[in-house]
Amino acid sequence: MYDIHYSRRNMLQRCGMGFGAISLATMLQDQQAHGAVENPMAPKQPHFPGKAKHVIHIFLNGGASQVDTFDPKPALKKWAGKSLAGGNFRTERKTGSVMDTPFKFKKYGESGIEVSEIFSHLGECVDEMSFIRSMHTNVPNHEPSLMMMNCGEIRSLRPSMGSWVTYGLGTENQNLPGFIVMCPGGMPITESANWRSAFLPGAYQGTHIDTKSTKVEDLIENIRNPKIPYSKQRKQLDLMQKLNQKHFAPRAEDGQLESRIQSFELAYRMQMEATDVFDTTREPKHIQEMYGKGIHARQCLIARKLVEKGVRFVQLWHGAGQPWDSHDDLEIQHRKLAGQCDQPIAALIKDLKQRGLLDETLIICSGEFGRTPVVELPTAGSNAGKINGRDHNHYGFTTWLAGGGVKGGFVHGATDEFGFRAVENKVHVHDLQATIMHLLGFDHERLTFLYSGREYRLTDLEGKLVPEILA
Amino acid sequence: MCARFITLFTPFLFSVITPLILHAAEPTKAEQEAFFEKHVRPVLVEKCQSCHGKEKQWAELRLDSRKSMIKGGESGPAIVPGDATQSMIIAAIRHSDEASEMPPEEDKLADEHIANLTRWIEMGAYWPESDVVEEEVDYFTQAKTHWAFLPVRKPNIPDLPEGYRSSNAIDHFIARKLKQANLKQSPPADSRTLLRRLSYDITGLPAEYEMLEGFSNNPTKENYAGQVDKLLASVTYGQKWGRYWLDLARYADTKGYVFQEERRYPFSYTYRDYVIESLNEDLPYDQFIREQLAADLLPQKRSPKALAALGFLTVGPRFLNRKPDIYDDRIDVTIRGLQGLTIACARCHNHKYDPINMADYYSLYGVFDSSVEPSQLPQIGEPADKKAHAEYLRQTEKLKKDVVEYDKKTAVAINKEVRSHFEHYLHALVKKTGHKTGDYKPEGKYEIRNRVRDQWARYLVARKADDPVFGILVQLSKLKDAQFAIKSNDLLETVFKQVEEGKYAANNVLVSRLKKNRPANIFDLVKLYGTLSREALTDLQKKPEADRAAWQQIRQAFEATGTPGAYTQDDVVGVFNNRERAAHRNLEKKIIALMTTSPGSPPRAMVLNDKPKPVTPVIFKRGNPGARGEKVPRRFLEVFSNIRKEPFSEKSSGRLGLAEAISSPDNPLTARVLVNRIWMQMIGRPLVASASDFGLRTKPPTHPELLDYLSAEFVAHNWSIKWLIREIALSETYRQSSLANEAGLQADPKNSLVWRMNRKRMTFEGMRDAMLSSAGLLNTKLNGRAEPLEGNSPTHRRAVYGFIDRNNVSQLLRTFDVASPSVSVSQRPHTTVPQQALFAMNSPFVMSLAETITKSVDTQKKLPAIKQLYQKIYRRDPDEDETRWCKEFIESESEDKNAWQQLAQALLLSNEFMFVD
Repeated sequence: MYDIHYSRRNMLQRCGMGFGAISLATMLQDQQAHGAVENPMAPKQPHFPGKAKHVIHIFLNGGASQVDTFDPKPALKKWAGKSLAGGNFRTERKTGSVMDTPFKFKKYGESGIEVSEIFSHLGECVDEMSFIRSMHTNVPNHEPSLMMMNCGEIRSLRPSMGSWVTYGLGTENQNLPGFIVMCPGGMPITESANWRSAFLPGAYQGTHIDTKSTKVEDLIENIRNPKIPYSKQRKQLDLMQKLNQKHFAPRAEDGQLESRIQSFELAYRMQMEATDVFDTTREPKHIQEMYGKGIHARQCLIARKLVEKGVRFVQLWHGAGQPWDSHDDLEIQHRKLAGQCDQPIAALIKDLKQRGLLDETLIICSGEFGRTPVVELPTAGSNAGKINGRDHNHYGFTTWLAGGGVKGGFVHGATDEFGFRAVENKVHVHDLQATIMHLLGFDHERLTFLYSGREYRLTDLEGKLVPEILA
Repeated sequence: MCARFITLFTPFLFSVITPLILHAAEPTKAEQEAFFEKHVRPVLVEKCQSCHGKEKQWAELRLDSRKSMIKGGESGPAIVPGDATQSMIIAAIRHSDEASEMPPEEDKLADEHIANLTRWIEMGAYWPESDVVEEEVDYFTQAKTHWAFLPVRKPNIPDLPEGYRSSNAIDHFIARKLKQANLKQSPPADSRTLLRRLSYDITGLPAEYEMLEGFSNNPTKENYAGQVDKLLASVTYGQKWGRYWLDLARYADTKGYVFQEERRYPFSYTYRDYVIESLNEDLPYDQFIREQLAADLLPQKRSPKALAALGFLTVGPRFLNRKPDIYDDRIDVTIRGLQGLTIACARCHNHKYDPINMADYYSLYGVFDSSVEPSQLPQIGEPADKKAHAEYLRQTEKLKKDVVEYDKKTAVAINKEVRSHFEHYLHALVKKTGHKTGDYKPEGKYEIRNRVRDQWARYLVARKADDPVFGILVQLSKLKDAQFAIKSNDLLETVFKQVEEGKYAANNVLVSRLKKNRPANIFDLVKLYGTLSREALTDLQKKPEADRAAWQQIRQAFEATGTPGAYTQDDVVGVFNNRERAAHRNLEKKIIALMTTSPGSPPRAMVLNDKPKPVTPVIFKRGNPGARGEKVPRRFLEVFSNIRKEPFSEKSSGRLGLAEAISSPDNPLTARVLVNRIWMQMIGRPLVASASDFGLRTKPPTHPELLDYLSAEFVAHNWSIKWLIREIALSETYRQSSLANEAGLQADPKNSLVWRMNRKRMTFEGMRDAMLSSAGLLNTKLNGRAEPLEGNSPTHRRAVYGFIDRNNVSQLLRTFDVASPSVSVSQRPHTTVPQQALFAMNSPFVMSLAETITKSVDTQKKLPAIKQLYQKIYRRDPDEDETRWCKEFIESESEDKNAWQQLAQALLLSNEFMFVD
């Protein structure tokens, strides 16, 4: 045992040189062997080899309308302005007669899957994508549905999916946070509860980044020293590590001292790596052009770079609040919103593919629910009363996935004639989550955490794998 | 459905079952078994047991043994052996009963499977006896022998084995186990290390350099004991241990996610201050508990300030004001926080591992449902600043007036709007009651207010038949559409006759209009009343003089008090639409915001009071408030009926009874749970690994007798927490060195036998306080509102006074493992991540402290300056090596005017600063 300590001391003597000589993996294995693992982000093996190694979760928060995007319903045209026989399903607000989609759908790719004109760039990627058109969730309200999509439970305190995934897998690059959440302009509603770690250690909470700013020091807290340049900071850390070494010598069995010594080296490198990864201007021009202009282009490009660097879970929100919540002016709003993110998301898929990263990166995209195929009626003081928007709809919506071991050019499940309610091969959010965990190599029933007297998991008591979409 | 079922069933019968029938004898056991294994078990396993099996029992139903199927679930037995028609499971799988179609929708069983299950029940529902039936475990029986549920008995103190040091009984218990494991005590820690440790453990602050010097010159036992007492007497003790209690109490300064209302609690700080003050006063722990659960109900009140104790229940998350969730939080913080038992799962089903059932949960639910927060919280102290108080009162008055003004103004507008749209309301009402004939669309676009419509409904129903204006409407509206044409004329004729005879003083205008214009259906009447209502609002002087009185009467009918459309500022809020409600709430929010921030706002206690009439709770099946089950009395946990069996008082919520049961010396958990937690804080490792779960699955303590000894003595010493901390601090066990030795590492690497002291990493609060202390900036003032820990002007007060937003606990705090304030936390996780290092390396906060430290040192003289830095930061003198390294660093950076600051920061970053030996 003391031999090992000796060799670890040797290693620590190289601190000043920044651990260059020893691979992180060796270091961590060494730690594990001594039961002193303190780094919660150390890479871990899943239950079985998963196809996906990284996740990019794109959140169309507010709830994108399925019948205007990825679930074409010709019947809407025929029935436009008429009432649905049998009445409307109850949603958050009063709804009226059928409202046709203002957008045209077109067949794309070899699979011939139809996509709305507002997502024409994404249309070019359909052969990489699996569309689950039979999603459903529990209630037609934002807060609980956001909690369901992110944490798998409506009310109680549960960790978010990104927290579960980093808890289960750690992350590959210790120089960057393992779970990064980007949202331009602030936070979505229910705020940081969407990426909370709840009863999992705080280290698994998502790191929230407001991508409205382009300056890296605004993006990650304390990522850059406002006064001391790197070279001087290196000297400062060298002195500190020398003191640490002296302190450590008689305490060499203590893993927590060692972890903290390492954490400064990781932090030092994180400064540079993060600065680099959030700077999209250094990308070649043709790549920048591929993603286009604007915040979403930058966000998607950063996401690719993060995944490339080994970050485990990246979540991209469309914006603060609930941008996709088109109770009024659906045509204008949805066109505008899709216009902001269509090209960037398509570029993300293509870019990952051309780098050979798509196979190991799972992209998931949807809102917290969908929207009604029937028009929303005015409610005083609630909407603008324009009667040209759609209400929330938890009975049916579309989630699409790409890469990471899902089929390309594939459609799973279906909603009814009007796109109101999932009827065929229904997939609940729990089932989607079980499937995501499977793609990452987890049996969703076995990745658990003991809390308050029982084992908890992302899908709690629910969740059925959707084998059909697996490649 | 049934017919189809039979046709399919019949031929099948012949193909498989016929041989049995043909023999005209009871099927043999072997045949039964074969049938069961081939046709029944696979279906049950594959189609039913994933929801009704060992893991899950939806609707409390298990379908994995004959016994459990006969026992059934929420709606009764699933099978009646021998009688398929009486067996509920058959109705369910046939989907013949809409209420329970199982498996649901498209997963419906194939007809063949339905036939098999039916047949199986008809044959007597055979189940192989060889099946090992997993008996339902009776946790209540197990509880009788579970170590944590047995009464605390003070054990005899064992003899001290030879060769071990001892200061008190603790060492006897510890040494005996060490001896058994052939381990030695570690040598005593050196005096500096010991006092630094003691200071951190008791006050959360590093000992001053002079204090360490003084003690190390004369480190006698008496001097040490004197230091223990001195530190325990310092108010900084309450600030350190208060933080720990606040973790248990899931304390935060906000409600969590809110929609429109003010997010901050104006008076959460009064609870925090109560906790710190009570600890400093060494309030007996049983009293501490009683006050936190029932300060308002105690027969003898210590002081008005003690009311703030109830914040324990009320500073929790508010879940957008959903009551069941709020009560759930209060039940959890009480039972997990004070009893170390997990109870939250009993909200939906009986506990799966512990003797806690739904009745327990809902009896406590009833306790909290019988308690209410008063709209005006009681004031518990004077504002420090009289002038500011006067200003606060003035501003509050103004803001309150703004609300009243808004409500008044809006009431006038709504009254006008409602009166001028009576036709729309009446139309909506008539339509809602099912009338169709003659339906039309009232003119003008108008969104009715549902509450107003419902009030009109109630108002009209309450009108008597002889009401001059509405009487006729009420009578005619009772006619069904089909009867209207036939009966309305007769009815009206009778009315007119009564009017002529003076028996019914109906309104003249109404009568003459009706005579002129007989309604053909109810909607004609709606139109007629609509017209009247509108005309009555016009200038009545223009009406013929003879009719004026009648018009006045109509107008009066619409404007009378209690009529919808005669709202005042007091009752108009109920009919606000979303926009108006938001505006109203925004104005109210300003009052709360002022209360939260004004220096003149006096402190108030976040109390609960009993409702005038306590609630008798019912069990919510599956936790669903809509599925009301049987009534349960409000009482203490059944498993502890030996402490208190009888239900709580019928006249009160039961909080006092609950407080008494928990603080009873007979309660086996209360003292044990607290002793374990305090031991964990002092020694660095608990005796019972899970500090908030003492349930059946929890392993016994590493030192059961020690736990019981300390628990018994703790109670005997009047529940004095300071006594307990003192006892631990004085033990030789506590005073050991934390350095490891090979024998110890080999035999007990986790140090569960305490052969040495555990090294502790400072908490975030400890680190922050220590850094401020090194810079000479730490403010240890007591009491007051929370202040920001981060941002442009971070507070120099101790971190326990830092503002915590429950919904967005800052990245910084979470990064440093600060407890999530959503639920009660007794053990924070220990993680090491680079973001912690980034804070130390780069945050303006740490940099500015390093700068302040440097400024207080004369850097012209290098060696003395280095020495001073060491004294301020490490509270010791540097040795030769250290002095040389620091000097070399300064000299190599001689160009840089910030070199000293960088040196000071390097010391703050180091492990020596962050860890306590």
